[in-house]
Amino acid sequence: MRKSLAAAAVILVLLLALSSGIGAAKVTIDFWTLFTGPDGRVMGELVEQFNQEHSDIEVVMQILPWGEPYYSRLATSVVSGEAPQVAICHDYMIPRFASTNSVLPINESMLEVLEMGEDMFYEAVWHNSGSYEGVRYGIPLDFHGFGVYYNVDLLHEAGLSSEADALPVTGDDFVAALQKMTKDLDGDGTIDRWGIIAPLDWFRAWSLWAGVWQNGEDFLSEDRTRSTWNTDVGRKALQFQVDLIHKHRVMSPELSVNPFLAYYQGQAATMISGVWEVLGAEAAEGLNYTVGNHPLIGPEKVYAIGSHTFVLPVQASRDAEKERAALTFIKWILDHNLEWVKAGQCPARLDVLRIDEFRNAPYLLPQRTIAEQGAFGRYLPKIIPWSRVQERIVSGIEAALLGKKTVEQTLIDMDREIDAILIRGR
Amino acid sequence: MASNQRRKYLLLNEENPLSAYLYLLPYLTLFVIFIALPILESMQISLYDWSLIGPPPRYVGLSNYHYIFTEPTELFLPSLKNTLQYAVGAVPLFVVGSLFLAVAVDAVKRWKGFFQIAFVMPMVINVAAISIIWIWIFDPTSGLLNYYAGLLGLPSQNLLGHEETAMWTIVAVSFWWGVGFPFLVYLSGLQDIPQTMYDAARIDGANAWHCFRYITLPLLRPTLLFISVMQIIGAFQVFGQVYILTGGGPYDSTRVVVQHMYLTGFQYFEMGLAAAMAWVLFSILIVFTLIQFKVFRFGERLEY
Amino acid sequence: MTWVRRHSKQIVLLVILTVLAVLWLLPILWAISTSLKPNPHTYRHPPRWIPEVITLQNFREVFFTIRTTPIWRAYYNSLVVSTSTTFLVLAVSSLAAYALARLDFPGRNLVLGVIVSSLLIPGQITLIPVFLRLHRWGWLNTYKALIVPALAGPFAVFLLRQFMLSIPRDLEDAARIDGCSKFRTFYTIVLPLIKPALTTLAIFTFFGSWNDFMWPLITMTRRNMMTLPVALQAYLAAFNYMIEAGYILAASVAATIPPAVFFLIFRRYIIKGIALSGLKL
Repeated sequence: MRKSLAAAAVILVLLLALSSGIGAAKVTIDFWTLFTGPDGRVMGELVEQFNQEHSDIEVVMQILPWGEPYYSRLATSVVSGEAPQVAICHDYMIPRFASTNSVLPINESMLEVLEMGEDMFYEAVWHNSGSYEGVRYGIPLDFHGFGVYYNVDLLHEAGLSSEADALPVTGDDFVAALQKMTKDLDGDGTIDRWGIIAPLDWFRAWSLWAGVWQNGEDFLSEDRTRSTWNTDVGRKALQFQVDLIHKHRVMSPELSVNPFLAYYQGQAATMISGVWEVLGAEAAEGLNYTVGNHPLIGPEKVYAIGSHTFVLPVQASRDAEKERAALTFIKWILDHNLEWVKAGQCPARLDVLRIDEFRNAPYLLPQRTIAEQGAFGRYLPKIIPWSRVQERIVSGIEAALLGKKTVEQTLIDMDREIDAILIRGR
Repeated sequence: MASNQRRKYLLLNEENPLSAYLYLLPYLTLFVIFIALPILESMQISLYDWSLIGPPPRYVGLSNYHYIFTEPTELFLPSLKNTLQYAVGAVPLFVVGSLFLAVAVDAVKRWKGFFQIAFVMPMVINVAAISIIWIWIFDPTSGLLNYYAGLLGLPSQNLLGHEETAMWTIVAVSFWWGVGFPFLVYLSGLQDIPQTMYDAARIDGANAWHCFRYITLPLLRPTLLFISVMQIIGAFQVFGQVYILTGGGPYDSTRVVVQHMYLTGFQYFEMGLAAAMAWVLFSILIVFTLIQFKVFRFGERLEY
Repeated sequence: MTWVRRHSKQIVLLVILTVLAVLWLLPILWAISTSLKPNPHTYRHPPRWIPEVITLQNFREVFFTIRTTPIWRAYYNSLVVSTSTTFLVLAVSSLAAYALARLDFPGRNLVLGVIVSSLLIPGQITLIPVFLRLHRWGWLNTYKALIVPALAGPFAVFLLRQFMLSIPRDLEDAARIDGCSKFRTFYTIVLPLIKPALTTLAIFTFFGSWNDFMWPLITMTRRNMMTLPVALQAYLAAFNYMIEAGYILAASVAATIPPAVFFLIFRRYIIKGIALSGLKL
């Protein structure tokens, strides 16, 4: 047993020696991502290609679980001086990291190395993702919005067209279409094919604030110190979701942490999901799908969108060589924006829109459709405790949909809870 | 003589009672560095407003404790209540349920090995697999459970999706997952009881229940205490299963205290609040454990 | 008929236990079956227990993937960490337990009391301070970060001490009279006597270390240092993972095989070990 311990120790020492030996020849930079699904594979292939084309830089990509574990680890890595040189960060997490000086501001000279400026990007994307209080911290890699995935066969079965311009645009059109597709197939008095499967919890939240924006208002006061959910508009937006279940009876009343299966298996005619769901829909066996934009439940054409951005986490000591390598890498990835778009995102760069493959390829239909949101996109409010605020909204919607609280009570409670978070300030 | 005297005070001299500390030295050093000091430090953190990243810690006295108990929108007390609900379901189920399983497997004459493996196997499965398997089983529209319920003509259920059933379902899955450990410990405890005692009781006309009630149970008392203390501690620290199965929903009705602590510390970046919560949890555990020691009359000697 | 009557209790017991055991194993069988299906087949409705097409593609993907830590590397990390932890815990804790069980010295009850009461402390309480300490020492992303803090756990000392109290002192006294030093007595007499307790402890320590998730998640950020549970977690996409259920379950099955085989082989020994070590308060 002592032998095995000694052996383990020897191997450990050898490994450490080896790993430091490799680093000497090139600039090695760490790159953290939260792409745990098939999109992680696409990014992995891009990184591999980058490494092959660059003999002087080695990018080591690490995929960490998405969600709060990712950001906790990013934070602890900065605190402990072990941070990666490049990391992916959602636009709504930028305030948290920027306000604590955990990520480097991206200055003019860095932008010159990147050869990037606002003319290359969607205006909304460039101006609203990656900056905080007037300073840029992140370079947008993409943007993502939500759409409706339709089962084409079930559309036809209900006598509806699956042509892009015939798909519902307003909330009323959408409900009417869902009513036609909701069916009691075996005639036992219970519905066994839903017009729409109840979306994943935080997708519902995105639909909710999109609804408020589409009615021309906001759910936080202008100075970001008060929550203003309990208004006519807020009630209207939440009521729309509640009515899908309790009034129109077109949405499955049972909430699931995995609603996608029911859609893939044909038990629901539509689902609301992000543009990234294209990879799931493409892989789904025997599914004939198309994608329409998220319905508008108010007069204004506004969509809720978000972005993945590249950030440069603060290091224990700044290393100009590594910083330059990091920028070279970011530039290269953005120069291959279309490849990344194939992983289920909308392009951040406008020139992608002119590429033939993007304009015509059938497998890029969701990206093409939802990319239209780029010109009408609106980002989440830039507040430090955003993820905590979102958590309260998610929880509130759940209570309302399950009939635990009335719409009004839900919004009153939501305001109270969010106000407390805003006062606390993080 | 003089040199002998001096040697007596050296730690290396075995006759010096303090030489015992040489045996303790490696462990105590580690204990101080990785348990004792960190505990004191976390008590200190609980008195500060500190976000891990960002500005340096700011002393705030007891206001973190005050906040978690009095702020009406704070979820610490609700999550404590949910944890209590979990404990109320899980502790008796683990303590009694695994005892019955162990007694049954001990009594059965065939396939003992198969049963042991069956009940222990889930213990070695990874968290990620557990989540996929069970979410699949419980899904309200496409899950296995509802598929078979449908075949039997039963109405479909969404056990994880409703406040009334979610926590009990988590308890059941936890039991499936974690029964192996108490089961094995009971099984071993049962093997400790001499067969002659049962034989003697049988001659006196005792039936199976009498044997269980008057021989097995009293002799298993120390094991019972061990299992119930471990289960209470385990129940108050439950986290993984909940996080995986419901993420704390629906509407926070299954959010448990360790999950809330984790979120408070690492997602809300409120290290001071999280440390205060940990101390409150610790105090509760101490009280529970002392009560248990009283109930099971710890310290009385057992004679076989 | 008389046979049935004579054995009726056994039959009832057998039936109940079989039903329960099948219930216990079904989810596992489902996982194994799914890990052998091509990914699109994994979510077919109605469900199929026996795959229509059996493929090892998922396992191939998991072992040769570029996405995260290659699973063989994670195996190796877990093995190094769990094995070293187990041996060092046994060494450190048995020494301490010996002092607390057999030696008389000032402050013994105080030390014992402190150690026992720390059994109740939730691990999360020490998480941040220990993390910051390891960071100051530059221990993050090293095996030490996983092994050394685990040696401070009070459970091992407590368990071994309780066991030592239960064994007779006669042999030790005889050895002492023959002029054996205290340390020699510990090494040659006590250690062999507490073998069952050491076995039990070794098993729990090994499994505990093998399955630990939270701590390696926080301390091991380098791809090559991740242990199995952390590497597996990285396979699990947060929302649309169902389309890749085959991969994730293949990875989980692969990760579960070593501890499962370990248990199958040593089952009798484990139960005997626990019995002899008298896991009780």
